This record gives sequence, C-alpha cells and structure tokens, in this order.
Amino acid sequence: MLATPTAREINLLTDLFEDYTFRVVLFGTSIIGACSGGVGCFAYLRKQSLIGDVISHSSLLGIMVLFLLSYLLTGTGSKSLWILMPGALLAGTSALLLTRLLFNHTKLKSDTSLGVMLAIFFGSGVMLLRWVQRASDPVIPGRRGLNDYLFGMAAAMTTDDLWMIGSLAIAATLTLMLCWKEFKIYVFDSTFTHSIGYRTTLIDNLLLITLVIAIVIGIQAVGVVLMIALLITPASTARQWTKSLGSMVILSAMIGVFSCAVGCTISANYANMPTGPVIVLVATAIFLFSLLFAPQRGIIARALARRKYSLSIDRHQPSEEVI
Amino acid sequence: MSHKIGSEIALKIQRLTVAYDSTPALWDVSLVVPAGVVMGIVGPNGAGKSTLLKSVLGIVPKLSGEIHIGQTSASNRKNQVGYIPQKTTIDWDFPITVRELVLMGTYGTLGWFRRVGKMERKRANDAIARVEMDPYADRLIGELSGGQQQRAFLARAFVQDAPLLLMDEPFSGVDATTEKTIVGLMHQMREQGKTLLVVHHDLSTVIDYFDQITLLNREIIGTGEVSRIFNQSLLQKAYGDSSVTKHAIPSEKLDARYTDGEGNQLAD
Repeated sequence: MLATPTAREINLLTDLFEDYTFRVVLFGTSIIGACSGGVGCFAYLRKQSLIGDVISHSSLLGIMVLFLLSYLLTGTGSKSLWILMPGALLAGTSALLLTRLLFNHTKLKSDTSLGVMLAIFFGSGVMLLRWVQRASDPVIPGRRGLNDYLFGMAAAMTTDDLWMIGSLAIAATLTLMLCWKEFKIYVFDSTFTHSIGYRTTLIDNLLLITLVIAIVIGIQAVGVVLMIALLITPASTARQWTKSLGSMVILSAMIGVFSCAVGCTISANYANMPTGPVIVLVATAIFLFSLLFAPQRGIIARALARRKYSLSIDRHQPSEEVI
Repeated sequence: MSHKIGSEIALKIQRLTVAYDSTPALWDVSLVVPAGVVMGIVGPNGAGKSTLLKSVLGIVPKLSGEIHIGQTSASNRKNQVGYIPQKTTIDWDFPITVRELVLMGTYGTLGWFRRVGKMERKRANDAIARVEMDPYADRLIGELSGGQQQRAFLARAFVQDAPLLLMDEPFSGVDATTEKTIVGLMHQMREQGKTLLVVHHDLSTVIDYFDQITLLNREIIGTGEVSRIFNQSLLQKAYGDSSVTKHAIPSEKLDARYTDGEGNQLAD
C-alpha cells in the first residue's frame, strides 16, 4: 500500500527534474537549508546573529588561502569543496577564537571585537580574491567563478561537493540531536547549567562548531555575504508560529529547505540570478508574512488584541462617570 | 522562630577576593553558613551580593580564597547547589513551558546524553504541584505573572533537591501575596534541612524572613544571627548613610522582639 504512491512520487520527481545536475543542486541546497534553519534557532535564541555573520564572512579568507595553496601544489586552483571547506571551517573557527581572545584580554566590548575580526578576515579575503582574479602574472588556472563565493552560485555544485555538504550536515545534525538537552539548557540558562555540574565551555564549543559547520556548508550556494540571513531568517520566522524549541527547530529547518529549493529553482531557470539573494528573498518573504499574520505574535493579531482591550475599556467608561 | 541549627556547615568561604577589573568586587570575605538556616545577604547596590552567589556557583574567577560546599571543595559542585537567578537575567521570551523548566532540575543527576524519563517527569509534576502551579504547567514562562515565574523556578529547585539553594532577589517584582507564598516555601525547604542563601533588598522584612544575615559592602560588615547583626550601627556601616537605614528598619519591632518578655506577639 505504502510503496506504490512513494514510487509514483519518485517517478514524478524524476520526470520533473530529469536534469542530473539540477537534482544535485536541489538536493544540496535543501540540505543546507535544513541545517542552517535548525542550527540557526540556537543562534537566534542566544542572540548570536553577529557571530554567524563573522563566521561566514571570515570563511572567505580560508577559501582563498586553500585555493592558492592548491594552486601552489598542483598548478591549478581547486574549487572542490573537499579542498576549500576545511579552509573555511578553520578560518571561521579561528575568527571566533581570536574574537574571544580579544574580548577576554582587552576592554573591547564583544560586538566591537566581532567587528574587528570580521574586518580583518573578510578584508584580507576580498583582497586575495581581487588579486587572484586580476593578476596578469601569474594567471591562476581555475580562478574564474571564485567571485561566486560572495553571492553564491548553486549551479557550481558537483556530486563530490554534495557528499562533502551532506556528511558535514549529518555531523551537525547528529551533534544537535545528541546534545539536545545540553544545548537547550545552556542556551536558556548558562549559569544554572554550570551550577549543576555541566562543563559549559565544552557545551559552548560544541555549539559553536555546529554553528560553524551549518554556516560554512552554505557559502558555495548562498555566498558569504548573505549566509547569515539563511541562518537567522527561518529561525525568526519559526519563532512566530511555535511554542516549543522542538517545533521551532523543525519548522525552521522546513522553512530553510523550502526557501533553498524555491530559490535555486528560480536561479537555475533564469540567467544572471545569483542563488544567494534569491534564496534569501524567498526566506524574507515568508518571514514578512509571518510577522504580519502569525497568531498571537503577529502584528495584526496583536493589533486586534489591543483593539479588543480598548473596546472593553470604553464599555466600562460610563459606569465610572456615574461614580 | 526558634529552631535547631545543627553543627554541620553548609557553606564555608575563607578569605575570598574577587575582582572584575582593577577594583575588587569582594574583598577578603570569610563566611560560614550552618546547615538548615535561611540566611539573607543584605547590602547597598554594587556591594558584591550577586558576585558572592556567582563565586559559590563558580562562574566568576576568584583571585584568592577557598569555598567549601558541605564536605566537598566547591570545585566539585555537581548538583550541590541550586540557583534561582535574578529575574532580569532570564530570557522570558524563550520558547519553554513551566514543565520543561522544572524538568531542567533533573538534568544535573541525568548528566550528558541521557534523556528525561518517566521518573523525572513524575518528580517534576510533584514539584509543580507543590508550588501550586498545576494549572499553568503547560504555559510558556513568558505568559506567567511575576509571582508564577518565581514559583516555577522554585519548583525547579525542589526537583534539583540540592542541599544548598542560592536565590538572587526572589521578591523583586512580585506582589505581597506571592511574597508570602515564596517565604512559606523557603521556610518549608528549611524544615527539610535545606540551607538557603538569599540576596535581599527590603530591610523591613529581614527580621521575619531570615535566621541569619550577612551585611556586605565589598567586605563583610557583619555575619551571624539576625538579633546580633541587624542593628543601627552595623547597618550604617554597611550603607554609609543613616537616612537609608533609619526609615527602613522598624526599630520598635526589633526592640520588641529581642527584649526579654516583651512583644512576643510581634515576634512571630
């Protein structure tokens, strides 16, 4: 009974998306959307959007360094995610660690420390990018398309890339599921978590690594500039509709998948449409809708509730005048 | 308010100094809290009251000194200390229900990776019933009144069942009725042999709420039985301003209570 419709569905899908490359891209971006949507909830609840932004921008430097390294070693700059991703992970993580160092040992506030690190890492990343692209000597083979890391080009995704994205996403999801209870209590009340004997620095580091992974797997498809939007927008959308952390994370992941799937379909069908902005605009549209129409938290629902109260106050007014 | 104070010691702080920057937040603080007492920590703003609690929790690094909880050194504080945070430090918009919050009290004994089971749920339900929050168990904490929020956190402390409970200004933002309820619950915990360390602001209620009191202003001004410590001269020393303390202390009450054979009706 169950097998027949599933098989038909798969047939339908393959008919629709016969193109193998497109299937890879669609699948890849969906994974990215699910991962950043889910992990993004924790960043949102910890009010750490800025940290996410620093991670994604900083990863550009790691990508450029590994690209150059692969050129020096092989004569051709590699754009395989298996080569570039470790660089991105490393750059994102070191930007965070250096921010922490700066914050702990100077009088700088945390947002200032983050801003400084973003400037250093992203600045050097962009500088290297420009140089690699413009240099007439040497003309580095493989440099075309590097620009796409700024705003994302999902079409560049290969099967190999998909495997890399998939395995990192699985690692992040497993961490999230395994440490669910720990992440939840730490994000809610870190002091209490410490007081009942948990090693909060360990939880914090695990959470940050998961965050780095969720961001870095998306930079090829979405781009370093807008990746933060894919992390925070689905989470803030999901918060409008849900009342528990579990349902928030699941809904947010679903919104992430939907935005990415729609975004990359649009981007694949029209020329000169960088994937990142399209995906982010889809996510933003859902967010704006939720901001207006969500029950209880939505702008309209709250306006109606206020109206109801003020009406009931009006009704009580005459009796007060009598007194 | 006579009750036995055992010879056991719940918390012992020896020569503790804590500094955030160049200025010390706590200076050479030594303090002994006997088991089974409710102790208030009183002092002006910036006196280091919250810092003292955080040192016991081990969140602020100490420059020097020793902290012992029960028989163990404070570095091994696994589930030895309960904590009810100051209201302002909690994100009330966090999507979590009263039941989930109370269940967090079991996380300490569960440890890493183990999930909440039937027994934990039962313990949480019992604690929720004890603070009379059953009707609100599945409400989000953001939808509660100030008093209900405070009771929810008390239930978490009940579930945790730690011998020492630290409370940071539990009465801020709650109405008089709720304050009474909370005090009742605090004294209930004391009857069970728990020790409570409470940061407190309202000087007029000190006599009714606490067995012992510590006057703090970066250093210890006085610590011990309320009858011994809670007097005009020490308070003035702590606050440095007589006008604050003069109006705050119901001195007739104080006199009545601690004068032999007089004002017994006021004492309770």
